[in-house]
Amino acid sequence: MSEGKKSPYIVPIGPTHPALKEPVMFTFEMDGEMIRDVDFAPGQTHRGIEWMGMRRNPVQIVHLTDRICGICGVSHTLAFSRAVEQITEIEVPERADYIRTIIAEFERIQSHLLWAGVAAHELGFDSLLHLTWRVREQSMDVIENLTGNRVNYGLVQVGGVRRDIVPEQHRIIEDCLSAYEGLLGKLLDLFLHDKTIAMRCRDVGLLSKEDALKLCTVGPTARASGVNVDLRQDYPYCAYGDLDVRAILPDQYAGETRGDVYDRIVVRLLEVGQSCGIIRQCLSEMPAGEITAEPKLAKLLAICKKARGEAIGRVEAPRGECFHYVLMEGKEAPASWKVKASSYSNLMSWIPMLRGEQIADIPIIVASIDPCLSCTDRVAVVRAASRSIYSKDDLHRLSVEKTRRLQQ
Amino acid sequence: MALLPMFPELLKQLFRPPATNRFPAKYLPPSVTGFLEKVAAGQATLVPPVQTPPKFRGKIEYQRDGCIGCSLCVKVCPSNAIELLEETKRIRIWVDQCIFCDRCIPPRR
Amino acid sequence: MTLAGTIGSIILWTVLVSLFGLVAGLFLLGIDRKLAAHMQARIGPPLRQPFIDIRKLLVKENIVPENAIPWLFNSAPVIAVVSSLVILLYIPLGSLISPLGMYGDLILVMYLLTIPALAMVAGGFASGSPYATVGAQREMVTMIGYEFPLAIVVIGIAWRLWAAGVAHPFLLSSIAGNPIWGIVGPLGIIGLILLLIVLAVVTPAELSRIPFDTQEAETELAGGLLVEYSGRNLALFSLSTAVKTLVMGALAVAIFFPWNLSSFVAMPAGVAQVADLLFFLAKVVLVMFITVTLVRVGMARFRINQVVTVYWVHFALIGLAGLLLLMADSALGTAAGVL
Repeated sequence: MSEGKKSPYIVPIGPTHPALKEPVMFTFEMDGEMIRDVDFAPGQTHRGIEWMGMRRNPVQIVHLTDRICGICGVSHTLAFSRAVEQITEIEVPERADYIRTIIAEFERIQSHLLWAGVAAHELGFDSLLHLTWRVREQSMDVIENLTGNRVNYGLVQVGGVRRDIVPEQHRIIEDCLSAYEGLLGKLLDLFLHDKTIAMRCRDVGLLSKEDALKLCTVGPTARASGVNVDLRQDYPYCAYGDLDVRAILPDQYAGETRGDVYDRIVVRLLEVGQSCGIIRQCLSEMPAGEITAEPKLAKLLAICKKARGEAIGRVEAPRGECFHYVLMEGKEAPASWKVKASSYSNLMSWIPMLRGEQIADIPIIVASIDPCLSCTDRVAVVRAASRSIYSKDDLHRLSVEKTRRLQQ
Repeated sequence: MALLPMFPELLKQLFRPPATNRFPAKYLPPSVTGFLEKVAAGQATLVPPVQTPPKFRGKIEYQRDGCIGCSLCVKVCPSNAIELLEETKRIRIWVDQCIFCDRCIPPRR
Repeated sequence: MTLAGTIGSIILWTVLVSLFGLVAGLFLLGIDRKLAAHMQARIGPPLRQPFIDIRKLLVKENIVPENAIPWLFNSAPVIAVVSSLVILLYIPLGSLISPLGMYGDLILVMYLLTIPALAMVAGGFASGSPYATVGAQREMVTMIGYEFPLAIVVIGIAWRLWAAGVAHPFLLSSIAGNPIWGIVGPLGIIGLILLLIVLAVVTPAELSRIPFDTQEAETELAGGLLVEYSGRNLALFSLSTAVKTLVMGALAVAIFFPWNLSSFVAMPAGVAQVADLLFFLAKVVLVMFITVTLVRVGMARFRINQVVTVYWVHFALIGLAGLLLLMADSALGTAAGVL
């Protein structure tokens, strides 16, 4: 249409749209079917979780962190617990570390399979969505068996874990792992050898290695562009130090790294297989012993109340590095708690990915970084129904003002 | 079908039973309460729901007799769903606020 | 028969065929959804679900957006459903005589097939929504894409019939009356299979189904052309899709699989027509399963530029190859006849 017309036209997508699984507002400047420029406004689903956390004690916050994200509940809980454990100087028993690793890897399996299904749906390939989600149920069942719930696991607590993995559960886990190892070849075949998927995903949503580094992307988004980052390898926590975990890069499968949507599928599917291996190794090497450093809740609360100091908890969530900062000042509730979900680092990579692509590619490119927007939204400025945009300088000024206020 | 690997998969699935659990019936009955009444009267059968695992975290049951009123559960409840009744030293659970985290139950091995 | 009698019987037939088209079309959609669900390991809705949906849509509010062009917006669905029904009147259904069969041929049917699509384009542009506008542009591009391969199929078949000495080769009744497979030699059979493949690939685009549903693409355009439609207007568009599904199935059956049960088994006249109609419906279901249901669940959606490439390059070439084979077959056949 607009070939004749000089001016580009605007296509709004969001805050709610079938292409988006969570609210975010996109404004596309279109030239025919081609995207000339794009801008997006997150902050549509701010929930004030940090505010809630600063009115609760760490034992309570652990369950709040479970609910930051519906998919990567363990990662947030783990990052928060690790921060508090550093402040209170609680040493986590080794067995608890292994159980934490097992549940974190199960979370990665189910999260990546969920993403693969969503990606297929965005391409209009609903059969593949139904197939991957059907397969995903197996890991959900194991998680339910281990923790007592499908989502919001509530397994990790400050100082350890709440439930042990008993020998009867080993068989259930083993059954699930061997099923997945058998299925992985089929999933790789269905996703990567399908001509229509390759036509839609190859060389679409390109993110160069330079851009990936410049925009500080994390997790599979960065790895698909050839950046060799994985907290499990670079900064081992829990049981990862004892295990041999290497970051998965797309060239291991295809022999080359292009940094497109296809590579992101490759990385995530291969990580499912990697997680199966990690869980199996954990099960066989799991030491005996206690599962929590402090089983008495009253005592744990007292320890947390006395604690002073600040710490950072970092965890490789399925979407990339998840980061929690906690400041405790001898009160029941932490004085400050900051959550940086992995998607926060990845959102900006949308801009270079989307520029120059077609309308048809918007859903799959937006989904390709596996955005988790309600986890990401930490700030929303709404004053009398009007919204304003804060620049970097404004935010810097505001944070300096707040620090001054706190110092008084 | 090397280019479209999904086709053989789909044709195989056509002759396999669906994965859906048919709870409470194959198709949604026009009235669920009416259907349940029929089930109670023995005129219809209910397809059972999917089994929950043995240690599933469900609705909290309060044992009044064992309670000593220490109020630790009130302190650790993440959603402030438990209220201590000062005069009787017993608690009241607001189930609508409960998030079924199991935190108020003493740890078990 | 008097002129009034002829007109009266045509009107009666028209009403009957239209009713049959609506009911059979909706059932076809139900079968399509059921089969798709089973392939995806779901149970799927009951077969009468499309009827339930239509009834629900008819009682819903009919919203006309503020910046739409009301008369065009409201008339587009009516045109779509009426024109789909009109096509049905030209296509033989089993051994029943089509009410207008002798007044129009395959060329007319090809032109008529574009009218529901054009109505949707008009409705989309009249909606005044960017999604519908993009959808309408895509529908036009898709139409330009698939018309060429479709024309190759139609011309190929008609030309081969003419070469075999069939009178009025474009008339659907003569195409259905002379099953093409019996006329051609081995080369021609290969050519016909190629043309059959081309028609099978054009069908999902005519019905805007995956992988050629860019104009409605749910995840991209949230319904595209139909995004602003609701209530009665949406019900009419659904009916039009239902009838078009039957039309495309019936067209493929009439061109490629015109055999009737009654020509194999001797039956009394009344029974024969019913049996032929049921046999015809079974053939349509089979054609629809292969061309629509299986394809739409087994593939990802194409981008609009890929749609054009697929039709203009890949399937136009396949169609032309089929056409050449048919010509070669005809030449060989003539040569053999001379010898």
